[in-house]
Amino acid sequence: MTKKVLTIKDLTVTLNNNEIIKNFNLDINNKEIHVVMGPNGVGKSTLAKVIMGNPDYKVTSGDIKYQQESILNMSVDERARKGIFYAMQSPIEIEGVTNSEFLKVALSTKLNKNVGLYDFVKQLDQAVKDLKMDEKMIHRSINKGFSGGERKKNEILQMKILKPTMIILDEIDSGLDIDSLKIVGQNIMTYFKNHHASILIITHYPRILKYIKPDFVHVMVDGKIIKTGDLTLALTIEKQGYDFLKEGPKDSRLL
Amino acid sequence: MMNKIKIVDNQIVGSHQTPFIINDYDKAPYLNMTKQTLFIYIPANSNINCDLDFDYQTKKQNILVLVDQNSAVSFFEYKTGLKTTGHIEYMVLNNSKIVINRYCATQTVTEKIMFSLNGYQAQVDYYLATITNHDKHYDIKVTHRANATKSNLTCHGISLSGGQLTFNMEGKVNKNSQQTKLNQQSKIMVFNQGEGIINPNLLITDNLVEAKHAAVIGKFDQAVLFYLQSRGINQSTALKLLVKGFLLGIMDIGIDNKYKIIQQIDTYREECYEC
Repeated sequence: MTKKVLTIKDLTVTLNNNEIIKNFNLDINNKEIHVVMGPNGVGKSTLAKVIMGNPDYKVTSGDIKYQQESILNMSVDERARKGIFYAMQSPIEIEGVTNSEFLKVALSTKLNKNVGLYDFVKQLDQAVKDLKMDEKMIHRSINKGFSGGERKKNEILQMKILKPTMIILDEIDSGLDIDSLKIVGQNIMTYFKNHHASILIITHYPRILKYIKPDFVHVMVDGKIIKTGDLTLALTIEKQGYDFLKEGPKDSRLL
Repeated sequence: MMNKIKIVDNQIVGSHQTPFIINDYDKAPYLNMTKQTLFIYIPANSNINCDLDFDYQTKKQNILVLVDQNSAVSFFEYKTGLKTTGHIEYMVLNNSKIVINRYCATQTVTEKIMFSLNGYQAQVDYYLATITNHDKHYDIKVTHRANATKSNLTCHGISLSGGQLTFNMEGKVNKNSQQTKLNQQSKIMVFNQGEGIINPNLLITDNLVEAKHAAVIGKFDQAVLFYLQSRGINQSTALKLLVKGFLLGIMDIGIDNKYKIIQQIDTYREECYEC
């Protein structure tokens, strides 16, 4: 049965009095994969941050509903505990706080009980193996000294442990080499199938879409969606750039 | 082997065998100490790694630690309680190195800590982690009196709501102390009404010296908080995680001592962590 997971209605968002997202609308149902593409600076990452509740941005009108409940008045951590996960474009490093300690606290908070060490380590070891990460990384400070690709794998590791239902992937492919891209893509798809999750992918390039097959591809320009299609739209953008949306597609199937 | 030694009012408590000598003033008659001073003498060629517990809550304490030549010393000191008022001096002689990892959660502190690097290639690495919601005042000074001496002073402090934390840091290089290296790094993170003061000073009177200093007072980065909260961790738990990382991250200590510090940090009430 189709259930609405994320509903964004007439959303307008400002940062320092500048409108970044304008009357934005998007519906994501369960078990759907949506992609938002667009040139730099059109508000794609802002959209992800606003869904997660980043306090730097101000929602001036509209609403965001998660599982039919408005989340605008919820704190960042409440949204996360409800099941929204945001894999960041540039995951930051936090010195002194180890990955394992942080994840154990996060999981205990989400489940509202103290997670047993044995079960936690077992889960973590499996996730580390699945992602072909170095085991030592989980005992290091969060993202400290990690390469761009390792940071992205670490985001997916967190996703696998925290088991969200709505996953937002902001340029998850940047910094990943070909082999790592495949590993990350396959892990996301396996998770998607096993947990009946919904995914919103924000990307510039369709290369991750080789592994994660989207149901819908949206093109965002100037703070709103101007076109929606399927994977063909993403592949056309890769070939022709965004200009064809102004000029009309050279590929007649998109007319 | 790790020793645990407790010293109360100039005396060692318990029947521990100590790897150093206490209050034998004849070991350094030239220092003209009075019997009010707790004197710890570390013989030449020692290799010592121990936990120290100085209990001097009730009266002002003077402590002098002399590290004789060719020795390697590592101390961990954990302090809690109501009040610390003291003057501690460490003298390090030729080719010796002292490493001190110190956690101080005493409520109020007025301390002078001095390091005198008196011998060729003498070294000190000092790591202070401290947390307070009261007044704490540390004067920390290192004097390089010989060639090729090295000092590294790293102080991390948390000033919780109601706290006033001061680090007065001084690195001094005397004349004719060449090829010396100094590094000072002081950071204070403040919460709500907490205050922090750092006075970083370098007084260098010779050439051929490499000196660095950094002083930071501020709050934890909102982007870092957002990251932790985006994984479902509420604000006060996220801040506690950051505090633990900030304080423990500078220290090289065993798991038992880390656990002891974590438990102590957890004793502060949630309100203390309000931004």
